[in-house]
Amino acid sequence: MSEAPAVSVRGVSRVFEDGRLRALDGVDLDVATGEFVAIMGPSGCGKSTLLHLIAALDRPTEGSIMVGGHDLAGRANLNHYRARDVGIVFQLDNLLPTLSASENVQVPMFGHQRSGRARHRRAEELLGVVGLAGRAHTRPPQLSGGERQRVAIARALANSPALLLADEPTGRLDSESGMRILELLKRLREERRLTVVVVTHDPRVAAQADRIIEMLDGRIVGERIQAQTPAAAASS
Amino acid sequence: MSFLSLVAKNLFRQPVRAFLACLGIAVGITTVVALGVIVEGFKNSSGAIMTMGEADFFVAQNGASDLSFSTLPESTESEIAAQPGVERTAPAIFHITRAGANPFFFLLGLKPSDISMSPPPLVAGRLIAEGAPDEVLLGDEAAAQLGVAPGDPLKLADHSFQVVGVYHTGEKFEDNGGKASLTTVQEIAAKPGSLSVVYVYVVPGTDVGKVADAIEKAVPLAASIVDIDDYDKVDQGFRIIEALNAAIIVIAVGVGAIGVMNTMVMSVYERTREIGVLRAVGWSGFRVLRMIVTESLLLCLVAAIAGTALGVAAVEGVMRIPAVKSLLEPEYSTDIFVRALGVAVVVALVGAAYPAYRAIRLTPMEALRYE
Ligand SMILES: Nc1ncnc2c1ncn2[C@@H]1O[C@H](COP(=O)(O)OP(=O)(O)OP(=O)(O)O)[C@@H](O)[C@H]1O
Ligand SMILES: [Mg+2]
Repeated sequence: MSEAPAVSVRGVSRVFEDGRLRALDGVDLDVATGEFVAIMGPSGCGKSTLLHLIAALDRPTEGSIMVGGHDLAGRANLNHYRARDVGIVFQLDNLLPTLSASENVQVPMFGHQRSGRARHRRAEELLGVVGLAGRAHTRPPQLSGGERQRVAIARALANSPALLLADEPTGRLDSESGMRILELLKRLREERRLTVVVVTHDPRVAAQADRIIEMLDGRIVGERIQAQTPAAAASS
Repeated sequence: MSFLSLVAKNLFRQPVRAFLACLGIAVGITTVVALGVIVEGFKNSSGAIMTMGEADFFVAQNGASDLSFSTLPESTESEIAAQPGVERTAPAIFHITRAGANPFFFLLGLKPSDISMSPPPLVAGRLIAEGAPDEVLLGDEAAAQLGVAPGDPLKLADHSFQVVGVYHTGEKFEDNGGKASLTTVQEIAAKPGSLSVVYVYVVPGTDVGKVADAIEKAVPLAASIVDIDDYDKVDQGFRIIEALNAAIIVIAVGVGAIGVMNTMVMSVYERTREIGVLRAVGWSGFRVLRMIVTESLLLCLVAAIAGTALGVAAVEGVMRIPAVKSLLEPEYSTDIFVRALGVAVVVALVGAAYPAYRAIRLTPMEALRYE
C-alpha cells in the first residue's frame, strides 16, 4: 500500500493533572488504509487516551495527528469530522438508555441525513449488518452486553466513516460473543475497506489483527506484524 | 426518529418531575390569564362610564381617590359649558347601593331632559318624565334579577320608586344598574347641589383632546377623562389594582420559573455523560443547545396550554358570583393570551439558559468522564 496512511500520529503526548501524569509520552504511529491494528498493554498505559485523541474528543498536549492526510488541529469543523470521518465504539457501550436500538443508531445522523425516514431506513440497514434486525425497537437495558456492543458498532458506522476505533469492544463479553464481535469487525473491514483500530486485552482478538502494537506507560514499546489470518485469506 | 421525538423522550424519562415543573409554571400562567381577563374586564366596565349616553368624555374631581368619591359643585357645569368647542353638557351623580342580590347596584342620576337627548335603548316601557322624581329606569339584567317590570314599584336605598322603563346597552355596569332623576339621586346620596361627573358632548368635528385640555386649564377642580389611561387622575384604585396584578403575576410566575429551572438543571446534569456521547458522535454544541432549549420550550408550552385552560375555567367560576357578575364582563383579549405565551417562552429560555451554557462549555471528553 503506497497511499498516505489513514492515521498518522507524530510525537503525541497527553499530560493530565498539571503535568503530574503523562498518559501518553511521545507516541508515533502510522495505520495504513484498510489495515486492522490491535493495541495492547496493561491497564492505565494510555490506550483509551490515544483512541480519544484520534477521535478528536480531546487534544494532544504535544504532537500532531493526521487522519486521511489532514491535521486534526487544522480542521475547522471537528463536529463534522467526529460525525462523518471516524466512528468510535467506547469501552462502555455508552448507548442512550431511553432510545431504542434503532434510535441510538440514528443519533449521529442528525444534520447529515435530512429526513426522519432516511435516518430510520439507514438504521434498519445497519442493524441488519450487525445481525440485530429483529431488535431495532428494543432499548439498551433489555439487550445483552454483546447486542449492546453491536448496536454501538452500528452507531459508529452511521455516517459511513473510513476509520473505526473500538475500545475493548469484547472486554466485558464471554468468549463466544467476543468472537462474534471480532468476526463482525473483520467482515466490515473486508466489505467496506474500513481502517480498524482495536484496543484489547484479549490475545485471541489481537491474534486476528494485521498488526499488534504494544504499549507501556504511555509509550509504544513493541510491534508485531502477523501473517494474514486464515479467515481474512479465505474471504479475500 | 425526529428531533422533536428525541426531545420529548428526554422530557418524559422523569414524567413525575416533568409534570410537577409543568404544573408549577401552569399555575403561574393561570394567574396571568385569570387576573388579566378580570382586570381587563374591570377596566372596560369602568370605561363604560365614560361613554354612557354617548358622551365624548367626562369631567370628574381632580385627584379623587376613587371615582365614586368624585365631587364637583353644580356650578362647575356652567364653567365647562362655557368652554369653546363644548356643544352641551350633562351633569350626573353616582350612587352605589344594594339591590336584591347585587351589592353594587349603580344608580345614575341625570336630568330627565338629558336622558331624552341620548336615551338608552329601551326594551320595555318609556323614559322618565320631566318632574317625576320617583320614576326609575332599570337595566334589563337588574330588572330580571329584581323580578320587576314597567309599572312595578321598587324600593332602592330606602326610596320608593316606580319602574317606568327597561333598557339594554350591553354594558354590564349599566345593564345591572339604573337611572333616575338627578335631584332624587342627590337626595338619596345626601349630596344636594353636588355632582359626581359632568358628561361633555363636543361640537362635531372638534378635537376632543383639545377641548378636554382646555377644560382642565379653565376649571382647576376638573380632570378630563377621555380614555381609560386618564383614570389615574380620579381613581387611585386603578393604580392599586394594576400594581397588585403585577405583583401577583411576578410572584406566581417567579415560583413557576424556579421549578422549571430546577427541572432543567437536574435533567441536564444527570445526562452530562449522554451529552458527551452526543458530542462524541458529532453533535455540535449548538445542536445540544437546541435540544435543551427545545426541551424547556416543550415543557413550558404544554404548561401554557394547561394554564390558559385553567385560567379561563377560573374566570368562568368567579363569574358565577353575583357581585362580580354585575361589575364586569370578562374580557378575553388576544393580548392576554399572547402575554401567557410570552411568559411561557421567557420562562423556558431562562430555565434552559444555565444548563445549556454549561453543556456546551464542556469538551466531549469532560462530559464523557463526568461522574
Ligand atoms: N481526563 C483525564 N484526566 C485525568 N487523568 C486521566 C484522564 N484520562 C486518562 N487519565 C489517566 O491517564 C492514564 C491512562 O488512561 P487510559 O484510560 O488511557 O488507560 P487505558 O490504557 O485505556 O487503561 P484501561 O486498560 O484500564 O482502559 C490513567 O492513569 C488515567 O487515570
Ligand atoms: Mg481504556
